[in-house]
Amino acid sequence: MKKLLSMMLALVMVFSLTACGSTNKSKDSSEGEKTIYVIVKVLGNQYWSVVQAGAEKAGKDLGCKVVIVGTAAESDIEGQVRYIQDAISAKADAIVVAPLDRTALKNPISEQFKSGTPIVLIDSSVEGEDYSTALMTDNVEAGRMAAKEMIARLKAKGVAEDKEGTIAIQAGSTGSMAINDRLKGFNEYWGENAPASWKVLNDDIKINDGDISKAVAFCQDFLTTYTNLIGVFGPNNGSTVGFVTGLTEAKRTDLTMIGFDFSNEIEQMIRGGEYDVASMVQRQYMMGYDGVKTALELANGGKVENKIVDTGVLVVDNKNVDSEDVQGIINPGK
Amino acid sequence: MANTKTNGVADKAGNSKVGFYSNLGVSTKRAISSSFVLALLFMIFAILKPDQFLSANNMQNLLQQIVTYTIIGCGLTFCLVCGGNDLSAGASMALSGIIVVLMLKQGVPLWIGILVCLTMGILTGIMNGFFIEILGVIPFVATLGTQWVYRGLANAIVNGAPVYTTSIPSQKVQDQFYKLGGGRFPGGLSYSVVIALVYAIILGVVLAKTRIGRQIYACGSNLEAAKLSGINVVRTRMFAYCISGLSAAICGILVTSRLSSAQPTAGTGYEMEAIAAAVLGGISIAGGEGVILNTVIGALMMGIIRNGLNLIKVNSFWQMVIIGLILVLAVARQMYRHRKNNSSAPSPFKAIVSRLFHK
Repeated sequence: MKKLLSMMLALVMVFSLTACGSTNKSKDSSEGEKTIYVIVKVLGNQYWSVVQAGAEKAGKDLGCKVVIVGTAAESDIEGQVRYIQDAISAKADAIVVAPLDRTALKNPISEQFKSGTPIVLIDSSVEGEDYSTALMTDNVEAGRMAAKEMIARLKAKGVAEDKEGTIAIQAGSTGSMAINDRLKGFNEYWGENAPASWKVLNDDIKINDGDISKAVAFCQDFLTTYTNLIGVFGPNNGSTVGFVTGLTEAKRTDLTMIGFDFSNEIEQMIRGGEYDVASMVQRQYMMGYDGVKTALELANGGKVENKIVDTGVLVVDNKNVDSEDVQGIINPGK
Repeated sequence: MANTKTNGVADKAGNSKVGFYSNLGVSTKRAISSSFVLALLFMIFAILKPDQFLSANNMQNLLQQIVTYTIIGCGLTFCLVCGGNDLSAGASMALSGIIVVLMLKQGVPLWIGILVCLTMGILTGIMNGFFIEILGVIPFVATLGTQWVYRGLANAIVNGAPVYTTSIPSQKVQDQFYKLGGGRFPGGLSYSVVIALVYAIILGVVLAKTRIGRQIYACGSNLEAAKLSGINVVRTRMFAYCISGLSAAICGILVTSRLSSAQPTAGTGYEMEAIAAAVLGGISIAGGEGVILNTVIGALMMGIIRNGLNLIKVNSFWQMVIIGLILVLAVARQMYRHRKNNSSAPSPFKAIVSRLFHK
């Protein structure tokens, strides 16, 4: 009984603390400064830290308060739902969210949207129409571009079209709409345009849960298992970094690699010039910046033009890595 | 606070089978029986995929893939044997990795950076020990809490973004640092594998042959008796947690070095992998028994299963199912043998049947 009481007390204390926190915030908004909550997918990786930087910059430029939260793992959907509810309790004027799951987040997001809080989706969308606007990469299109790039590179290298060859793929997680769309686009284009003897190993896609050490291990085992490997494809950042490290350690310059996003590792590989490699770079800084900007406009009673804004991807390789287009995306604000 | 130096030079009383030392026999037997299973697994994949599985390159990959689990597992073994647990190892590993890169970024010499990082690892152990021993929180809960503390700190320090070793000002330090986890001997064997092996041997000797090791067994098998026989229980268990923290820090250094980046999310779930490896090798979660050899064999088993399943093209989902089943069955097998060896118990078959059909 005593234990229970003390636990209750502790809980009450925690709640009162958070309550204090939220009253402060509502005071802020009454003073005219809007509060925008940005709920990213995960805190602690390359990709989302860039989104975060964009959002923070927008907050500084436009003079609104930006609060950034995110779960610890891509699989923690419940955690994200909690963050959305907390943002509402904290009287956020608008919410920018990168939904972890299309279906699971449909209702929580639609509930808040219907209650009048503007909701801007970034990176991924949800089912239905209950949100203000979505700024995201058209991932199916991005996947098609990746396949197109892969085929072009293999042909340019002179891989014979009748030669039996395989393409290995590993992904970060299974539930991610973005990754699934990229794979869908990749396979669509591949099926339509690749020589019949070049096969994508769709029955053996490894899942690394975003753990880079695991991703490297998978890469090593792919290299051992498939002797007729001609290329590898990483549809997300973690998988790409795993492939980069694995290929570099094994010095497999004969393979073609297509990755996603622009981590330090892939940058070094691209600049090194030894490997046949390109990466699909998204405009995630813009997602963060424009996400906050749009949310603020909506919070101030503005309207949005389009329901879905495709932010697009750029194919970055050794030839264009220093061009202005690419630099504007990779090193924004510099 | 606790003395953080290993008391490795304590009196070597040889194999005096006094008091709590006699239960070593069980774990050694289990290690031997586990190594049969290990050999069996090895044979299966060697027969299925001889040219790929047995290639020197694959063996090297296999060893490299289990380095982290082995090192963290060896540290965890100390906690398990003394009757505790450490769920914070993976998070502590991420924190240490970030600390070392940030230190080197400031331009300090490599060895100082490493020293600070190892000290940090030991500090995480002291913090765990403080909550458990001084404040009396049960190990499972305490380290579950500190797991979040360390993971949160790792994220907070770098604001959620990975830090890269390319930001280290001196190219020479960069290269030296990369060698630790990514360097290889001329024969193709990587340094990290050798580091893991040496570390496991040292810990094995400390646990089996030194006074502090024996005290750890004593605490794990019967805490009250250990207290009564004049063992400083708090200090002993504190030592076990420090070893676990130190192991996590060593892992942090090796992984960060190999990937040239410290990821705040690194090591997520590694403590569970390490516990699984220890249990597979025959260490009892209840405490008081187990040798480092168990954990090393367990980690090798995990590595062979994963690598082998990859080579025979089993996809990730079925791999999870298979590894989970192997884990449970392996422990069931140990329990079965355990009951069979206990002459007082009814015959194993009868025992199992009665468990199924009687209350």
